[in-house]
Amino acid sequence: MSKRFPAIRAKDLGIKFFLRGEANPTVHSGMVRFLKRKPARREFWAVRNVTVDIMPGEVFGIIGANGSGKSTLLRALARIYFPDEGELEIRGKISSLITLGAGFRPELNGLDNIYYNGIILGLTKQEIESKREQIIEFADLGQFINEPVRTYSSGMRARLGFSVAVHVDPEILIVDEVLVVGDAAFRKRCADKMRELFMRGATVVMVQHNMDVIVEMCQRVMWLDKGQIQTVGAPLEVVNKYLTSRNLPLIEPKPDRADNEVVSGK
Amino acid sequence: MNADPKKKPVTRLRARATDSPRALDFDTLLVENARKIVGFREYVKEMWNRRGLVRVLAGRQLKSQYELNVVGFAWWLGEPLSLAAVYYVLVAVLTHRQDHVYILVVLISLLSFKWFQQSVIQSMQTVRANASLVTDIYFPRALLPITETMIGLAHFGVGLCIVPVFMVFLKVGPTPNLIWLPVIVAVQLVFNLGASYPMAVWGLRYRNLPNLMGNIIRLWFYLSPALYELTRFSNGTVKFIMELNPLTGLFESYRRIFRLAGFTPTGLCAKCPVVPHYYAGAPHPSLIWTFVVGCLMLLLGSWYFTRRETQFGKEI
Repeated sequence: MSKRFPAIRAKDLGIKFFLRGEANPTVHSGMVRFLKRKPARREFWAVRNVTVDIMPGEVFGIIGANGSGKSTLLRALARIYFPDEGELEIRGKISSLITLGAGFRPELNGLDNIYYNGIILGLTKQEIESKREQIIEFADLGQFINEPVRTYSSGMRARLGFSVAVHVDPEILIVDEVLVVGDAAFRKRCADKMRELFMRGATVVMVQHNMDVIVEMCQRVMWLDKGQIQTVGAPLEVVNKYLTSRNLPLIEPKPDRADNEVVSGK
Repeated sequence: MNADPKKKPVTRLRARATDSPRALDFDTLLVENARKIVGFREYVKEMWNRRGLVRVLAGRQLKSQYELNVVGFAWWLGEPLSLAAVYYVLVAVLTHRQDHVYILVVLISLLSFKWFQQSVIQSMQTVRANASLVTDIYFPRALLPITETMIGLAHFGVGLCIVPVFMVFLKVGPTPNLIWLPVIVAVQLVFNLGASYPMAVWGLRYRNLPNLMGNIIRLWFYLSPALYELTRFSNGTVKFIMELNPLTGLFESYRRIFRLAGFTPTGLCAKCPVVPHYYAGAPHPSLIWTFVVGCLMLLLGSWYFTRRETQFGKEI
């Protein structure tokens, strides 16, 4: 096998936040702080010492309790947060699905928003033109596609957002818990579409609270605890370790996992 | 993946090393101290690749701002026109000016000033206004202030369309000097951008700064020769100080190429020298100064911006 470069390589990655202890820093509060010589902020490492190689074509899951740094790590991998420590190397075109429909303009209609969202996610005008029908069909909004997005329900908005995002055809897809939106039928379609993406060799990094989905879809799972890696390994094993630590019922290994279609499950 | 992995774009992000020696490779031209260790060249390339975003963001904003109005594009003209009317009434009527060409002076100065004001004030709010983008998607954030400046430029351009109407009406003939217009616009573009970059950073950090800056910029406008002209000042020192103001070069130049440089400032100041009517001219020499200041601000400002940009996602 030829030498393969990891799609994402993180080395001692650390992301820190500053806790300012005040909600809205203003000009005068800044002056007061300066005059009192008070330290403006305390640092807090949301993610630290994360070293991992994610190979191309891998589906990589991240689990952990709330506030364990999953989303922070995901945002760092999506280049939204810059490493405050360590190194990050990303190989390939990246698309992040952190909130569906980021940058939607509520007063513009669905079609306009497809166009704008597509450009924002890095498509060219021609690519959008060619994929437009697919996107509309996938979102399945019917006549509402011509209505302003502000009239949409949150599920409809999410459907449109997901539809645009998966049609970007990224080499690396970063997904944060977005499969929970929409009805069962739509979730099934999302799962199918994502499977199609990684069949084509895309690398997927996802955060999930639904352990069934993790076990079902991922090839490797990282358990993050207080910003540090607890374990990285085979999904079932890591998930069960995690569930044990939280006194939750374990997941049974499914012998028919390969042809099991139920991702959209509960 | 069938594509050759070596050919894929590689992004290396490296936190500033505190103890270990920094690896210097030529792909990674460093923006030092910057924590932004994507090479500068790489960053500019990325900006160029994503330049469509400027058009899209600007277009989206303009569309949502104007399309909902029935009057649509006419609205664009309404704003500068009504503002010019305000100043015209304020200055010309209250001081019994008989000089109607003054409205043209006011209009041109205001258009130029509005563009500057809009670039700076909107840039201060642009990162927060696009929060859902900044926290969810990576793109070179330096495109945001450019977007705001471009929106301002669009307003400016549309506003300029009504100037010829006034010129015909007031019998102020066009001059060949109008070919200087793109040069002055380019200088102002650089200057506006240069001012926008640091303001975008500070506006994000301090929420109430835009209000304060709004007043400071308005004060700056009145201190600049926009509603009056530079020739009013016979005192050499005052004139020199006025010429140090980078906005002076812009306002004076716009007026000159529109043949309004010597508009008679009667009513404002009785002692003012009355210059022969509305002579045309090349841009005012201090435009060069404006350009120099603008370039310096743009260099320092964009450097500062790219350095701070890495923290935007967290500061919002």
